[in-house]
This record gives sequence, structure tokens and C-alpha cells, in this order.
Amino acid sequence: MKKILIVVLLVAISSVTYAQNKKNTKTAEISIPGYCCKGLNATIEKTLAYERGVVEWTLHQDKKSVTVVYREGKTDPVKIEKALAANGVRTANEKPNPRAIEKLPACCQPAARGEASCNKM
Amino acid sequence: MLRLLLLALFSFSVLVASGQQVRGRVVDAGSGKPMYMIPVAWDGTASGVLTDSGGHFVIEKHPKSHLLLTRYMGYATDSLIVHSAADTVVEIRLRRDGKVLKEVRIRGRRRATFSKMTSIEQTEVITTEGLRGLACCNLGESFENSATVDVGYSDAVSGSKQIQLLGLTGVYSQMLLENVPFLKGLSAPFGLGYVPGQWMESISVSKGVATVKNGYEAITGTINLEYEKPHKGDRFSLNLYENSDLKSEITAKLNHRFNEHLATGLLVYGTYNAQRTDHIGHDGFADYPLQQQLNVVNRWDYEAPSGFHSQTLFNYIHEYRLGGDMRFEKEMRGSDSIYGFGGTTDRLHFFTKNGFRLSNTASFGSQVAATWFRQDAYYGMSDYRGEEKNLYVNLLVNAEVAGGHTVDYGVSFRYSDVDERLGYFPYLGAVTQNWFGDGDNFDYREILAGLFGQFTFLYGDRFNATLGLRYDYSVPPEERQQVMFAHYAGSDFRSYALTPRLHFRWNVWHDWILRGSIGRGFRTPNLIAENFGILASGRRIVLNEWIAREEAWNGGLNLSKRFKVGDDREASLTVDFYRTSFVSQAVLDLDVAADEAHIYNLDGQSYSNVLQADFSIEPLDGFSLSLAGKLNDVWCTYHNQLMRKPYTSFWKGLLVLSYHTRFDKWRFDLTTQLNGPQRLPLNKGTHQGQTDPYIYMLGQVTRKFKRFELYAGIENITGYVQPHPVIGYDAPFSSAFDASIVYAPLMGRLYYIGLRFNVM
Repeated sequence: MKKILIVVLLVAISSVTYAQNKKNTKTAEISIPGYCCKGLNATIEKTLAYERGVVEWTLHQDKKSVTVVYREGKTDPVKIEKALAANGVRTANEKPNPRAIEKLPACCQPAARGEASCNKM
Repeated sequence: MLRLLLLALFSFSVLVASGQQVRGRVVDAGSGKPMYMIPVAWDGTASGVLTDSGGHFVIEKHPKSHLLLTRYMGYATDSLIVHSAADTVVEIRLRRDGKVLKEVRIRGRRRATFSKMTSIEQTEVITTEGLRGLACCNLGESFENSATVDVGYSDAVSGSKQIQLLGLTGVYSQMLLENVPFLKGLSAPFGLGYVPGQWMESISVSKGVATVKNGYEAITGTINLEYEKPHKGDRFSLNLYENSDLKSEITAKLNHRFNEHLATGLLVYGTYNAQRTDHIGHDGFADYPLQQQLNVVNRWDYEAPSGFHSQTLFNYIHEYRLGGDMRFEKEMRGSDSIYGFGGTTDRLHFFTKNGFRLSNTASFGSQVAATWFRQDAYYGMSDYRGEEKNLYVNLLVNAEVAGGHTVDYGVSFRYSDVDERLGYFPYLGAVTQNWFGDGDNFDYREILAGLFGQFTFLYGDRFNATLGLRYDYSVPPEERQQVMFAHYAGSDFRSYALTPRLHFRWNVWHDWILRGSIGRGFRTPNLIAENFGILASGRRIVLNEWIAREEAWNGGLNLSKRFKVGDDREASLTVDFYRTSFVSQAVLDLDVAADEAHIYNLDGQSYSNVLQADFSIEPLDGFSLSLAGKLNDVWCTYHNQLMRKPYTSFWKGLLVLSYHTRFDKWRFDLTTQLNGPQRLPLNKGTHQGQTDPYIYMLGQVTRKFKRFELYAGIENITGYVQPHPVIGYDAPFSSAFDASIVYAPLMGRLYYIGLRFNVM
């Protein structure tokens, strides 16, 4: 178990330094009109975590958007929006995958389908 | 309240087609008084109910909507998130003004195994999340992280595995596929291999007698399997697996939705191992047989807006095994110089479940299942042919009566035609002794008609109890039936069985939950299929009397508690004790002589006492630990002597560690089992009496990428194996031969890698 933990730590450290070394980063703000409740955070973060070229991100719950720092040439805002939509997140330009919507927390589903808008966070 | 909802989120359906129900109560938040005629509905749907004068309501869980809305003039609209509704009880407190949105924090990750806190039966659920941490080629390998179920090989040549629940073989529990009887009768010996691990969405293991809805069996427990549902599953997923013994597996799942009502799913599984190895014992016998399996499921789901819900499933399995002596080839069947094992199995299974609402408080469900099974197998020179046809029909009604209590009642019908034929053991000239009828047939036909009813008493969410009773009538057997509804040989024929069962759940104090169950159960033994292991031996089978239907009582108590540790961490503790006591039993006695196997009716005591404790905690983010211990005290009367039942560990310990990094990119699982000593029956080998305890470990690393995941693992890390599993391997056609004495793993350290890919 100890060994395993050491391996995990090494991997974690190396991936952090890897990310820091990269230049040519750009920042984009992606609007998420379907953002309705905090339950969606996990899906958004998980999607971005697995997206190639995404360096870091910041969620703005009040603005219903996410600021993404990405490496130019590896990805672009359109790809990122498509990835979010594939996991059920409605963005300004992309419609979400209906099967993925059903895996979202219940509070996020109507807005993701575009059925209702929500005012409260 | 919040905790209850969380539980509901983690629960899975264990109910029949008649659907899941959410029951609850609406009260005025200010005065605490129940509110009458308040509409409660699923958001975005037309399905809703009104509360009664006590403020109670029961609503069928809507498959699409998870948001339960309560709207009433002058009160704020209240909403509750209910994901799965199995036995959920909710309380809605309406406030006079202001908006109240109860938000439940949804954790991104499901737990690997958990015990259901809300159900009336003690249920442990193994989720997909838990199964992903195991290689789990099939059901036999899916219980490694559970202390409740023990798995062992039945003999050293066929590679088939058997489970034990509460210290007794798996046949005393009931195996259900989506709440419909699945693996029974002749399917039992190799049945665990018929369920690919990747198909399953969850496995629920309930200890103790089940409710009366699914028949009079399920004495020690129920194992319910849920396959992936076409409406919910991913469009396509693929799993590839390869291990160091060159066993390959492929699993593919396809789901298609025609529209929001109709969906279909296709599940395909194939396995193939290209080589035989002889690492263990170096005795010229293959460690594991050559095996090929093709397994296909096609299922259809239809949901009408009216509430009508229909699920139909077809399953076909073809399996071929070849083992025994390393030199043995298929063409050598019947050889008296080279020992071979082989078998071909074909199995068709079908079920259809249909349910609809009769009114707002009542629903109707029907289950129809049919199985056709044929097996042609041989162990050396003994031939076995088994054929089984069965049909099962179960019709049930669930209705609410006054005060939120419910009744379930229904009728069931079962027809089984079982034909087992055992060929000769020419090396001893010994077929079964003093056989009735024409030599080697173990045929029987069973026609059972049953009536059942149960009443569930509800006292808020503090206490509920279910009292059930069923009556089954069996059409008198024909003369040449060997297994029959006689209490004892030839006399006192009894055509009915009365099965009473009681369950309760009591929230004693601060979520300390006490559960209990007691009841009687019956079952018809299949003498050869259930003792298949002895065919891999030179033992002479001695059967001198007609074997009666088995009858047993089982009772148990369970105490469980879920703790909050810190702000967001949970820990759970469960302690339970179950006792099974047989009134009549088909006893397999291997202790008369080392070269004989006697089968007879129990004369004396036979019981099992099992004490188990489970503890689990998540001490750090992403790190979870569970610890379990179990004591098995299982005894049976063998030729007037009370002895420990063989092959049952006196105790067992289990430690499961799991760690995953953020977003599940890496995942590490490690399971350690400590298996206590077992008693061995008399045998011709050098090892007699008790076996030594041993450690069995397995571990897996999983790396997840955007579209796929890779996994690699090791089974049996310590490499502990039984040194000489085939006794008398140099004289397989003599009475010195015995490959049925198996008490430890038969596979050494095994490495595997795999790939999972899916398109949502």
C-alpha cells in the first residue's frame, strides 16, 4: 500500500511540473447557460480534467461560466464545449448528449434539456 | 431527513416490475400537523397523488423524473430529490412562505459496496463501482470484496465454482436475475460462470429468508443480479481482458433507444483460453480446463406514459470445457487410459416482466420466466447428461391499505422437468447401489401451484414489519420419481408446503437499526448436479433411500449503524447473527469410507450458526477501508455422529483497501482474505483432518483516460495453492483417485490486463 501511495505521489508531482512548464497558453471563458446547481460542478470539472490541453479552470457560479486556461494547438474553446456537451453540459453553442443528461444530478437535468431556466443557485 | 435522502440516492431497486414506491408524509412545518389532499408529483410528469387525511402518500417512482414536487397554495413549493426509491420514506415539511429547496449534495462517486439502511431485509449491494476494482470475469469472481459470500472450487478438474452463504452451499440461497428466479436446478454447478461480471449493474446479497413473493426457497439468502438497462446504459461499451494463462475475454454492450418509451440492449460475451497449464502439483492434470463460452442477451424495455412498464430478456449460453489429463483430447472421450473431463452446455433463458398501476395506491405485476438447459458432460468414464425445462409464472398485486400500511398478494405456478442420467463407473463396477427404477435415472417432474400474501405494517420511518405466508400445492409425483414430496421414504406423502416468514426493521435510537427475520423454507434437491464435485473421484455413490424434499428454518438478527465522522465522512458498522436449522436435508456423507459417497436423508441435527461483523470508513478523501470478520459454526449429523460440515472455513477475515486520485484518474484496489481452517472429509490423500489457514490477496490498478480505461492486476498475489489437488493422479481409473478434495486456490499467481472503452 505504501509503495502504491509513493507511486501516486510521484505521478501527481510529475504531472504538476509538466503542466507548469508549458507556455503558449490562452484563456477562454465558456458560458454554461444550463448551469443550475452545484451538482453540475463535478461533471464540469471531471470533463475538463480529462481534456487534453486544458491546464486549469475556474468556475464562476454567479456568471454561469467557466474560465479555462488551455494550450494553443492542443485544444480550442470549440473542442472544450463539445466535450462538455458530450457529458451532458449545455453550453452556449453545443447541445448536450441526451444519455449523458440522465446521469447528471436531478437538479441539473431540466436546465440541461433546455426545458427550464433557473434563477436560484 | 437528509441522510435518508442520501441513502435513497445510493439505493438500487430490489422491487419487482410493479415498480418502486416512494412513501411519505406531508406536514405543516409550523404546526407539525399532517396536511390533507396535498398534491405530490414528479416534476415534469403527469404522475401525481394526493395525500390522505393522515398526510400520507405513496407514489410510484417515475423512471425519468427524480424531483418530487409538492405544491400548495399559500405554501412554498417544496422539492425533494429521490434517485432510487426502494423502500424510501420521506417527510415533506411545507412552509407558509419563502422558498425552500432542499439540496442534496451529490457525491461524484458511488461506493463500491454498501449495506442498505432503508430496506427491511439486510442487504449488501455490490455496485458497478465495486466490480470495476476486480477483474471479475464472471459472477464467481465478483464476491471477493464481500465477507458474506464465500467462493470455492467444486473439484480440481472442472474449474467450476460454488458459493456459500451463511456457511451452507449456494443452493440454499436463491439466485435471481432482476427479481426473477435464474440459476436453479441443473444450472447450479456451473451457473456462476454464466454471468459475465461486466454485464452487471449491481448485485444485492440479502441474508436470511426472503419475503414470500419469490417462492418457498431462499433459506439462507437471496442474491439478486441487475444487468445493464437499455434506457440507462451507454450506447456502446467494450471490455477486453487477457491473463497470463492466455485466457481471453471480450464483452460488448450495445444499447439503442428507439424513442423515449422503447429501448433495446444487446450484451455479448465470449471467453476462450488457448492453453492448459500444469503448475500445480505437477501431476499431469491441467490446472484449469480449456474453456469456450458464448453468452448473448437481448433485452427490450417498454414504458408507456400510462405507467405500463414491460421488460423482456432473452439469454443464450453455449459453453464447452475440456480438462483432466494434459494429454487428453476431445476425441478420446471414453478412454480408459487417459483421464479426461469434458462438457458441453446449452442454456436458453427468457423472462418477461410487466407491471402497471391499478390505481394511485395499487399496482399489478407479472413475471413469466422459462429456462431450457442441456448438459452433456463426462468425468473419466462416468457420463452425465442433464436436461431441464422449467416454466415460472408469478402474478402479484401491491396495494396500500389504510394508514400507509401495504399488502402484497399473488399466485405463482412452477413447472420443472428435470432429467439427470449418470453413466457407469466401470473401474469399480459400481453404479448407485440398490437403485430404484431403471438404474441410473434421477428424473423428476414438479408441478407447483402457490398462493401467497404479506402484510407490511408501517410506523413512520421508525418501525416496519412484514408478515408473509405462502401455501404451495404440489401435484402428486409419478411413481418413478426419486425426489418427491414425501416426508420420508414412501410414506406420509405430503403434497403441500406452508411457508411463514416474518421480517422487521426498527430504528431503535439515533439510526441504530435493528433488523430481524425468521421463516421456514423448502427445496427439492438435485442429487447429482448439486454434488457434481464427487463425480471427479473414484468414490462409489451409495443411495439407499428415497430422498425427501429439504426443509429448514432460518432466523437472524442484524444491528447496523451509519456514523458521521467529521463533516462529510461516513463510516458504517454492521453486526449480524443467523442460524439455519434443518428439519430434513439430503445429506452427502463422505466420512463413511474414503472411497464412498453416501447420500441419505438427515437423521439427527444439522445446523449452521454464523456471526459476522463489518466495518467500513473513508478516512481520507479517495481512500476507503473496510474490515470484516466472520465465524462459521456449521454442523451436520453424519451416520449418527455430529460433525463439522466439510469445506466450511471456521472463520474468515477480510480487508479491502481502495484509493483513487482526484477525478478517478488512477485507482488502486487491494483485497486481502484470511481463510480459516476447514475440516476435510475422509479421503485417500495424505492430508486428513483440518486444513491450515491461508491468505489470499488480489490487487488491481486502473488508469482512466477520456474515452477508455486500462487496468492491470494480480490474482492470488501470495501464490498460495493447494499442493496436490488431484489425489491418486497416477491411477485415475481406480478408487484411489479423488479430485474432489479442494480446500484452497487452484490457480497460482495470475497477472492480467484489460481495456474498457465506452461511448455514452
